[in-house]
Amino acid sequence: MLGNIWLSSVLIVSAIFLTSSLYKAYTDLREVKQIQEQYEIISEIKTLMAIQYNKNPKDVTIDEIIVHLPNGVNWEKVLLLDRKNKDGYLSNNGLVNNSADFVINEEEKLKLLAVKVKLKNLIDITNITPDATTNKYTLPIGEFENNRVLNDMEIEKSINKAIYILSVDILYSGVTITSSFLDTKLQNIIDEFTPSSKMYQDFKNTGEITISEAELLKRKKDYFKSKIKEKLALNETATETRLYLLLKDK
Amino acid sequence: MMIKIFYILIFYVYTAFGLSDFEIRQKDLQDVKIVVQNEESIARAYEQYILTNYNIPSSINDLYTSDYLGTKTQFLSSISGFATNFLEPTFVDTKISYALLERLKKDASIKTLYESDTFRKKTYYRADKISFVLEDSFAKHLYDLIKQNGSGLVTCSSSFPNKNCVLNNHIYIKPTYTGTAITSYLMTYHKDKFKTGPILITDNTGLHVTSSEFNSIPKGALLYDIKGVKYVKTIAGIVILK
Repeated sequence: MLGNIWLSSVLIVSAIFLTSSLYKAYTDLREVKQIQEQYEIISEIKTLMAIQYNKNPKDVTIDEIIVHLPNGVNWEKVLLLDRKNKDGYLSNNGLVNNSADFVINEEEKLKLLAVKVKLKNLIDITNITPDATTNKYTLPIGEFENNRVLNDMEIEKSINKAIYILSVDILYSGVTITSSFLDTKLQNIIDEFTPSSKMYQDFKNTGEITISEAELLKRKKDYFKSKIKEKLALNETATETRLYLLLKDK
Repeated sequence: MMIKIFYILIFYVYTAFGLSDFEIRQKDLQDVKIVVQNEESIARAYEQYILTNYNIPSSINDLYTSDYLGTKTQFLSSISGFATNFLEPTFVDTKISYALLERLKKDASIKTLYESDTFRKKTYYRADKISFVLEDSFAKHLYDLIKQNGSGLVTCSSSFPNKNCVLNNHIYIKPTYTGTAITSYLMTYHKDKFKTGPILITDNTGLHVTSSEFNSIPKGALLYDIKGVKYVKTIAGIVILK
């Protein structure tokens, strides 16, 4: 009799443990799936926005994502927030930072593992370490597809802007044009509009292994100046034709 | 008990009718996007105005018509509470006024988004203004002519001798008149041929060198003087073709 009661109790306790373990496994699996889906969706949005706005996915911010989310739906909780903290309660903790990358506390091993699985084929995940102060990992989303063609377009845009400002300041401002005025104006515009962060070309001369930052910037500015003069030499518009005559020997 | 009911009611009203922090931010961001799109529209309308009127719009009021931006009310109505967060747009030349008012300007992230090129194609932020570059070649050409002229191109009339003008889709540079008819000019061309020619020019070859108007002719354009002699514009100047 006692044996039966003992056996029944053991079975019941085992069943309870088994059920709770299965439930835990189920919720863990759901959590992993959920965070991986969030990763996929944000990555997709970043890629789409990068194509639409001629930028690289790493430059897409959380605000740019928010502005495109449909109104009246609880997208904030669905996509951008950590819906459950480690105690299992609903929370309003940020999951995505301003650069639209995941920020996960190092204690949330399961979430970390889920995202690392997504990242392992893209980057060396052993190099990802938590912030020493906050103990949080910042995990990049969708930042691995960059396009140099975009930079060429940005350089082209900068050339057009520079030429336009030169025409306004030189041709239409009504000031007396002197050689020193042209020198100063041209240099100021080159300093302001050289898109140095977009210039990916190799500026090292033959045989050079490294060059200083200052020298690199100088060469980028020289390159930008040569591109402005090339464009002016095409004489495609009246403005460019007139500017070319004034700046060709500068 | 009453207090409890009161709090429940407040919570209900807030959730039913109020905006959450996220919704407020989303609205702010979407409004900023609309403002940027409006600035893009102003830039497009400015260019269109030049092409249609051979003149530069003197203020944004010139563009508040059905041909360009619609009425001011229509143009600004897509943003509720516009005046609270934004300044009405104005422009001087190709520079539009900065739109963000204090509350949004203080938000570094919104300020960065507004000043970035994310939603911009023709416009860009520079020195506390939104500048834009003309894209259409003929609009650029007219802009240069108007700026050199000091005013828009008028319809040719003997009342305006020596004044650059337009007649039957032809642009005349410094025309002179006998009676009401144009009898000579520095140059004339059809508006579609301003780049390549043929451009009819004076046979006074001295003026080909001394008149700055000839500097505006693009390289490669074909020119004829009024006696039929053929020239081409090169990087060095106007060269006779033999």
